[in-house]
Amino acid sequence: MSLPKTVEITFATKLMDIGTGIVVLDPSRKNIVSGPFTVSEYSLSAPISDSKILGTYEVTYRVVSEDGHPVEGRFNFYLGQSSAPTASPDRVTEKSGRTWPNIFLPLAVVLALGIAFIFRRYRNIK
Amino acid sequence: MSDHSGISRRSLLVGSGAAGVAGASIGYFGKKSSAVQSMTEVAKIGFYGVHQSGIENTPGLISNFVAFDLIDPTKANLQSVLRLFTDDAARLTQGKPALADGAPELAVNPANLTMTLGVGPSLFTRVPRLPSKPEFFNEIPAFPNDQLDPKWSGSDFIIQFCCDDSLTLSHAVGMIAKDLSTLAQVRWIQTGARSDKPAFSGTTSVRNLMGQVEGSDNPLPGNPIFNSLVWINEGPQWAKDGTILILRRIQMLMDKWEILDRSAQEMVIGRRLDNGAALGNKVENEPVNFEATDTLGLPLISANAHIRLAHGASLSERIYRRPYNYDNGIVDGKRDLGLIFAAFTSNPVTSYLPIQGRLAQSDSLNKWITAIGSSTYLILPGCTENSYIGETLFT
Amino acid sequence: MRSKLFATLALTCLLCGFNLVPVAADMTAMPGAKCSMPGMTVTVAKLTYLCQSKAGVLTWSTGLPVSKVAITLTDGWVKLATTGMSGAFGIVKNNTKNAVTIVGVASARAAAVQTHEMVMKNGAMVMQMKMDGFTIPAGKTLELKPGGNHLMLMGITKPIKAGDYLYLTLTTSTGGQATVRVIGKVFAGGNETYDTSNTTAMKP
Ligand code: HEM
Ligand SMILES: [Cu+2]
Repeated sequence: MSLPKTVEITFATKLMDIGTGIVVLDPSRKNIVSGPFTVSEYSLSAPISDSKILGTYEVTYRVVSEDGHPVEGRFNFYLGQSSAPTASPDRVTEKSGRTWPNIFLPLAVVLALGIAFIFRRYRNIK
Repeated sequence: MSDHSGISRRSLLVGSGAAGVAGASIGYFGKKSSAVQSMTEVAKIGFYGVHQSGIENTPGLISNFVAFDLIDPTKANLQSVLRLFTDDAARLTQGKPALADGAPELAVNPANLTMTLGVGPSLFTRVPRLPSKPEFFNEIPAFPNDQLDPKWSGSDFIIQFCCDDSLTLSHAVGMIAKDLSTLAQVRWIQTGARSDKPAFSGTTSVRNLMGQVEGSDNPLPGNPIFNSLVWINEGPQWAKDGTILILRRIQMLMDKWEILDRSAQEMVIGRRLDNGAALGNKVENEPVNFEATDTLGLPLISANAHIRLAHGASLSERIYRRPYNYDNGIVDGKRDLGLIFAAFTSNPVTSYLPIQGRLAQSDSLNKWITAIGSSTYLILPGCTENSYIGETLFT
Repeated sequence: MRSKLFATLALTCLLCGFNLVPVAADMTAMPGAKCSMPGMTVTVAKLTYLCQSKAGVLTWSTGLPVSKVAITLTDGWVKLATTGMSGAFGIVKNNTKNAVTIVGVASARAAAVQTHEMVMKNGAMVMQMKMDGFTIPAGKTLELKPGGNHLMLMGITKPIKAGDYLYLTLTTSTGGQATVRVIGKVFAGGNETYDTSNTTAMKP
């Protein structure tokens, strides 16, 4: 069992490459992002180094959607099996300080070489 | 060299307020208040010195960057330009009319006027038999996102005028333009302004038209590294104690900028809008911690934040910025405004170019700014009363 | 060299309508040079000769031994001109303990330099030659400015361009000389009418 080479998170709205950040922690809490991230139209991806440790990996990201809102979020994935009490996709925080639990529901898709994580912003929720 | 006569701009500004009050009484008593008189007398900056003025002293509130081309590019004509400039500047900056001044009354309030002359790289190809220019002095190459308009770029020489009074400024520009009219023609003029208030109390930084606090991390005069960062000390002798001005006209795309949440705007730069503190810091002048993370563990100053990329990789990779805002009104139905980015460096190859290279590649700010003009000038060394600016080119 | 200068002078004077006045028969003081315009000075063998009008006739003065004199000119400038005449201005200071009279001025860039004043004639200000020169009391200054007293360059030999430096040699009534510098400046004003009646009146 091994990790994909890249973590890729896909969003439902277009992104702007400002304030972007991504951290991927392995079960030993070590950041395994191994190079510069890339922001393409709808997705954020970052290379990660290979890790054989089985357990829960935690992905934390910050992006800014095309309409100018910074969004931060966190989700987990597992190599082997969960090593931590689960692990629903955590809170997603808008930078302005509001915390919107589960509003940016991940419509997760696992890609061949990565993990896709799609969120949709519900503009009418305030 | 500026004459640091112990009068700070702040106290002058306070003073001019007082002068205004005193001025108000003139009509009443029909007598000229001496307060009015003395305020105008002190607001001047010395012209002669090792370095030209207009670089080390606090920037005047308004500026004109006037670019000229020699009509007939000969050494003699260049020399005439430099003599006339020196003669006019030495007088006008001290509140004295120029020789053959058509409106001498407009010269009496120097209002911190400075006049600073620089020569462009083109001069050295156009004027025969000039000494060679320093290797590190060239036109800045265009960067991928630039949309340079010749209307705002390059010329044989430039004169930077900075002043606190629009009447004085207009007069000085007009006087020079007239004096040089048979020798050189004006190619473009960029008009700039700076806020007359610091961004908040206790700072020297001012806000730009995007609302950002500008000047937080800027090696100001007095900084131990200022002299080596700014004044030329290598290459041909004639250029020693000069400096290189990089002048870029950078348009701000305000309608797009305002789409961003404030927090997103702050991420673009890596500093807070309210007090200029770097993200993660409390106050403006705290040392920036580029490794700081938020509660989620994400870097606070992102990889492509303006200050991360602009920050010098070493102490010598720094530039001294002295920018002005410009507002050109409405052009083609859109507001045309931005920054007259003016930076001084003793060697652009080792300081400016690497910074600009990084910014051009990935600065977040690029989405909201476009460089529409770019020029480079070598600001000549200063002179004494018995010589003229640029005399070193002829000896 | 000198004859070339005078050829230019004659030509220029025709161009600018300057009236030539009779020349004295006796030129022994300055053999070879033509005293053809009041205000001309020529220095030969450490003596300066001034071309002046005596009873309506132009003659060379007797040679004045050249010495240094402490007069200075600051803020000196000269109006641009390609041919003909131009005015030079500035502030002349007499740094000596005696009154000084500037009787003659010379420049390599003009055939002659005259001392001019502005006078009211027929309701208009016109300029005319000040025959007795400018007298400056001890320690005092004299301002030369457009519309007032000025130095007039006659028969310009080479266009005066912006930023050019011109050197003028001022000669006092006692033979004292001082060389001063003026700079070429664009100036639209100072186009006074030149009244030559003063000069023509010198005709016998
Ligand atoms: C419209 C264009 C620009 C805007 C609005 C802008 C704005 C800012 C702001 C708000 C700061 C932070 C406060 C400060 O330290 O002054 C800053 C820093 C800085 N900027 Fe810019 N800037 C612009 C263009 C440029 C360009 C073209 C360069 C150079 C190539 C540049 C170089 C720098 C540097 C060196 C710093 C200090 C970085 C540090 O060491 O912390 N800027 N700018
Ligand atoms: Cu005259």
